[in-house]
Amino acid sequence: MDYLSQLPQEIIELIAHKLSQHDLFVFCTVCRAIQNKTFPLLYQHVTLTDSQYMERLATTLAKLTNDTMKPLGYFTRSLTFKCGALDVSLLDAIALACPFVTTLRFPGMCLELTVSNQSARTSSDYPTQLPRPYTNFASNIQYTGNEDYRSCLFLGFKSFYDCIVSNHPHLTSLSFTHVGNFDDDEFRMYMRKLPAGLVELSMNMHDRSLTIDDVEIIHKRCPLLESLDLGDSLRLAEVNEPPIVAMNYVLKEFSIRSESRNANCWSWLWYASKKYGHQLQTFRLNNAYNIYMQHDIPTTEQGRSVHNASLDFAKQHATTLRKLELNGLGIYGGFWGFMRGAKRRGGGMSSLTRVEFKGVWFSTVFESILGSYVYELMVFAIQSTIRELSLSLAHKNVKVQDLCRALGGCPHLTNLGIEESSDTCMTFPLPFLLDQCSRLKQLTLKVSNVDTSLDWPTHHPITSFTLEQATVTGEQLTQALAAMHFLKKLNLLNIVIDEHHRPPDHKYQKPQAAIWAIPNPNMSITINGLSYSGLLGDKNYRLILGSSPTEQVSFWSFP
Amino acid sequence: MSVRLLSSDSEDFTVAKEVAERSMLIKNMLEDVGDNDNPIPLPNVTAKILRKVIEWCEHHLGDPVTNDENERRNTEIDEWDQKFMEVDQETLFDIILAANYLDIKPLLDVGCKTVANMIKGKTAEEIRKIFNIVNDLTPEEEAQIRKENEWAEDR
Repeated sequence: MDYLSQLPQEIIELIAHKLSQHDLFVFCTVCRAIQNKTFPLLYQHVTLTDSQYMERLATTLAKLTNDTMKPLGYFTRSLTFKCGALDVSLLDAIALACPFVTTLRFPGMCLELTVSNQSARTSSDYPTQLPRPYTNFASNIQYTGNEDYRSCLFLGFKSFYDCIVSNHPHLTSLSFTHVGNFDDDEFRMYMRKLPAGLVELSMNMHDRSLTIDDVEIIHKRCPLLESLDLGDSLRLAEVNEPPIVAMNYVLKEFSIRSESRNANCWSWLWYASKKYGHQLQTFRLNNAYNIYMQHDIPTTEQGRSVHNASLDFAKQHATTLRKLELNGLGIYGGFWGFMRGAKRRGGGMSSLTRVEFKGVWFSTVFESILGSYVYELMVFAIQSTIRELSLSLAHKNVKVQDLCRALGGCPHLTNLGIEESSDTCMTFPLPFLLDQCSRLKQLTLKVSNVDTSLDWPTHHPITSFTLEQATVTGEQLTQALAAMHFLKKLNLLNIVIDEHHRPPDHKYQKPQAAIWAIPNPNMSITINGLSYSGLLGDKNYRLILGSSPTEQVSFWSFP
Repeated sequence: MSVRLLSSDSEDFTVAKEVAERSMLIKNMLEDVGDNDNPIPLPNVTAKILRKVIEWCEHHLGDPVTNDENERRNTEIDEWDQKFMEVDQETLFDIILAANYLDIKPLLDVGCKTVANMIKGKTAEEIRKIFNIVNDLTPEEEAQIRKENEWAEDR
């Protein structure tokens, strides 16, 4: 009997929400009953991945559905254009067909390509019902005649932006990439045009030097904002005079992706401590500055402000924040000391379920007492709630075994990533870690060497293991895999096989092959960058993968 | 403190109050009627399904409550739940309907994830086979649907 198509609408909806657009589309074609129940759901969230389908989409959106006799577009709540240049007249038709859209997304290069395509596509027959049709955005531009290509693009973008905000004044979620760079006055003017009811805003701005004032303007315009994401290669301006800011009790998620000086990043922690109430759940600051300059030694003044920012941030958010990512802004030892201290003083528990804390060591005059102990301190601060943790071991004297022991005390930790910093060369005791963390499901290790001399736990429940940049022997890997009985995903990235890495007392025999025994025949294996060190010139060396000792699944020959 | 539940086929179950209160329906009922010894009738749930639901609630008693939209949206199911859901389709859909009726959101969620995972990556014909569905669309209708929705066909 067919139970599925008989399910009530609300349960079909719950199932449909867990399917991707493609799977949902296939599901719609199964039978008439399911089609009737799921068709409006397919049109609730529309993601267009290829502009060649725009015309078909525009036509179908205007079509009436069988049972409700409403156009399909009336069900549409979100439109995402994950594609190249848009045909602006079709965009008008789509906008007209979907009057109740509350979410608009133009990720990646979509807007830039559309704007640069303007002259080729401009036509005069546009629907006049819209307040400011996209079709004539290009004719709204007033050129002076002296513009170069980039300035023309920028003018085009500003005109297109005006179309978005005037055609969709009721948006609650908007995501787009700026084309060109506003000066401060223009930035203010354009941010004041944002739909005032926005709950989510994601703006990619290249090369803008972001100030606290900029964010204040956005908050003033959009008081309902719950999620703010600013990127992509932002520079964060130095804060000399901390401004007086009014508290915000609405925002829950704050993200910045920047390329900036370490000290400037920390002032945003200060801002978050003065601006946002305890409702803030997620704070992300991902900075790519360290890629370019590894050693940024702060001045005493900068050190002091980092120290104060950490203290303020911890006081305000230590017990209420749920997700924290602080990557690439320099690891300041005192931060977790304050986070733990605030937890003790306030009597509350940490609520952090996800933490990323990666970057190089950021020595300031204030950190000397804590030193390498900071990682254990961090783990103690978040022990009771943490589920996902990703950290880089940047301090030279980290006691890895102590850290593993501390991690073992986290009852909900299922997802762990550990990487060594570029200037530490670490031998990581993998069996010891697995033994301590007996509930781990996913592990990512980016370390130079793996120490496998300790006893392996039996039947560890880990299902996904990623090893990156390590030098290992075939035997070590086989030992590791033998301990991971339930492994479903193995990723090996830039691995060096070196059979010389054997204990000195081991009687050396020239190996013919590295043999990896795969415990679970139904797993996925990704090998990306595998090289072989030693036995130069030996052309017969092979790598053999197999799920049983007698059956070879595949093998490759080196070099 | 324990609570008595009465299945539709009149089987009497005695369970710990905190187990029964995983169901928002029962929780609200208990708050309304207060402490008394009468069994709570559950006319939409058979003994077979109620036994499974109680087993699930007992295992997940200490679970933290998650309001995280993303965590609910992902379709990973933990190992115990996967085993728990390895039942025939009639039972699976009855558990889903019971979880919906009893208002046990996390169980409803696991059930829907299980069904969604059975649909993912399959062709329409494969889905029909798995769920025993008869295709009542004509080839012309099917072609028409494909044509109109080609924008969504792209992976």
